[in-house]
Amino acid sequence: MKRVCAALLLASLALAARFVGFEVKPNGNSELDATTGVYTLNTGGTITDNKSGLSLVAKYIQYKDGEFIRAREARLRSRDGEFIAQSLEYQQKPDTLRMEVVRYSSSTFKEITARQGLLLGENVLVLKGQIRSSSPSLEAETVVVDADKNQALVLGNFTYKDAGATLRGQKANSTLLLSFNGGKVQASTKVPTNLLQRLQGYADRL
Amino acid sequence: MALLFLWVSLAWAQGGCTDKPYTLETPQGIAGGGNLDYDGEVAIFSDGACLDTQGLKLTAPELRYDQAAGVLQAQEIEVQTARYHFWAQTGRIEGQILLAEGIRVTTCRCGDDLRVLSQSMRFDTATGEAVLERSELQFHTLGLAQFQELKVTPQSSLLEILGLPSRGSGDSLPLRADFDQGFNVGLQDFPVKTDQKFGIASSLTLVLLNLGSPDPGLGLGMAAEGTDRQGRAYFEVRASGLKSRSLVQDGPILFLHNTEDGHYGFRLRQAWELGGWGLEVYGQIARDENYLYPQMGPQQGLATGSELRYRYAAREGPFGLEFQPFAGIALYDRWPTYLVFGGSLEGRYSGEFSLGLRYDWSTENRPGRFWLERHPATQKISGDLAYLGLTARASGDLLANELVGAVRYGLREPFGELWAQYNFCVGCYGKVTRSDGLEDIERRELQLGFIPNPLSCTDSFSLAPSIGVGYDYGTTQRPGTGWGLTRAGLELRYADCCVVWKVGYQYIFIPQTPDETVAGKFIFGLELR
Repeated sequence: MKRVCAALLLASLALAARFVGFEVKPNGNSELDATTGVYTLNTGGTITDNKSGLSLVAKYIQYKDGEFIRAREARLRSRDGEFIAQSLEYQQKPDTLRMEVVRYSSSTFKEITARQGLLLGENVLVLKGQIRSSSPSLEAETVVVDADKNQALVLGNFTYKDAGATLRGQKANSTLLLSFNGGKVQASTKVPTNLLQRLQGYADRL
Repeated sequence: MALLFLWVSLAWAQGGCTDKPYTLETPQGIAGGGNLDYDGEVAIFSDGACLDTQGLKLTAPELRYDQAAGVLQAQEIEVQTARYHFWAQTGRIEGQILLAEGIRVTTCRCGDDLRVLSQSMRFDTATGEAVLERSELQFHTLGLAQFQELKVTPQSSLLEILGLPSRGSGDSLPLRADFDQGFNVGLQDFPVKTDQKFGIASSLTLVLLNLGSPDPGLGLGMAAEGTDRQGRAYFEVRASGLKSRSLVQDGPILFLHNTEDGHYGFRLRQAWELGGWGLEVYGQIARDENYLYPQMGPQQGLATGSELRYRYAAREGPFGLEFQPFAGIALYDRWPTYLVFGGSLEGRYSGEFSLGLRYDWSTENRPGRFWLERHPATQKISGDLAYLGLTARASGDLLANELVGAVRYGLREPFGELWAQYNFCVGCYGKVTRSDGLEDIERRELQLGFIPNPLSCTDSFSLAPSIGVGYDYGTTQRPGTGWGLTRAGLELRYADCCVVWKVGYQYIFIPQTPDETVAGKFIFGLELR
């Protein structure tokens, strides 16, 4: 459990830096719709933000400076790990990154998959739908990571396997709050109401 | 956290707890609770915590596990096994051992009117075995007996744990209430308080006998049993006379008497054992009837002697073999030397079916002077067989030319067991005088009956009828009556929280064993649930 949370925490921290000024390398032609200002890379390409160390490689990319980046079959790399998503959409206002059929891997975390992912400007990552990871083995419905508060909330049914043991939350409204404090992890199924409401609010945005 | 999981997996065997909102499942068992808190060192299941193993369910308001110390602690623990219900004020689990204090144990399905209170308990969560220390048996608020140490196994009944003899079927309570020649009522092997330091289980028998009959009486008995010693005494005063019996066995001392059989003896003995060999040397003073010349009447005297025994036992898979020969010699004052040798040989197969064959024999140069050292001449072959619902046993006495046995078949149905049993005795005719004063008869009896499933619900009842038919060959004193009803009986059982109440009546129309007479018998019983 400690490793899951640490990995989720790293993911959110890594993505906290946004695409501010980026460099685009199309694989083929880059089409510009002069009326909307939207660029389309039908054969994909690479977008790199040298300042934050982010790079996006996709087979299809659409973007508009200062507004959004959309991509399909995308691979988003940070210094600590990478997201692979069937599709993603980055909105600069509000500062959000939505992903469909997402997979995250890092040096400390092999891979975690979810039907949907949402990275918010408040430095909060929401993963939702068939969340699975193999090492450590975790199955959950919803995970909300608040990087600034060093907390992660698992919502709904969850199963965590480790050392031949299985920890289950088997109610649809199960909750598991993970708090990080100086390398120590605290886990509690008793979540203060105001905290639950706040993090539940993030989860509802996906 | 991994250590926590590992520890829990070691400590608890397979089970459930599956209904709890949060569970910790291991290959061996499950812990659960309404909530879980973990701070990296201490994990706490709260709001109704539980731990399940295959034969045990433990619940407590809160379970607290200190990962660094490897210790789980809980208060107000409740443990349910297949047979027992435990409560403990505090409990501490290290490894697979639960150490608890302030224990209350009951077999009652609801409430705890019958209970054992113990100061402490050591419970092996892997085997289900427990040791209760400084215990008191209570019924309602009445303290009945105290025990220094009680050993509990998952299979043992409460009576076995208390070291009390189990009478009849099931866990019959130590009470007697029945009616035959008259009304018999009282305490039978009733556990009594003893001084804790002796660590001896004691019991008392106090029975009023044959009330309402011309020969009423009072039976008084006491028994105490320790690990290597025992003492029993029973006195019965009737209008027709007094009878008594006793047995005291403690180290080198053996004393016994029985006024009914005319046995009296006091023996000093020394025994040695080495490997399968055992040797006992004794000196005794005794009184008995004269086995060699009965017409001379009882006689008494001194004896010294020894007995050598050997035991060989082998087991290979389902096969077992046991051979126990013995030889004895006794020297008397004014009586010829007694020599005896004999033994037993038993083979057994216990696999898909069970089959046992046994041969017992004993040869003596002449009847020994006293009952204590005697091994009457014997040549007996016996066997038993059990396969599914069929059981059979037979014993053939080659010297008496007599064959006794029974074949039973039980048909298991969802509502209970239908059974049929055929009892026979070939060659019994005229061998002994029965209690009704007539000669013994050849026996051919078919019994039919129904045993309902054990009552599992509270406030439920069941009926167990039985009937027997047999052939009466008659005796020289009276003509036979041919086929007829030998017996008919009905037992009503009612279950409440703690006990099963039994009321039964059986009438014997044609006595089948020497101790039976033509009479009706009413039985009242209490059985622990």
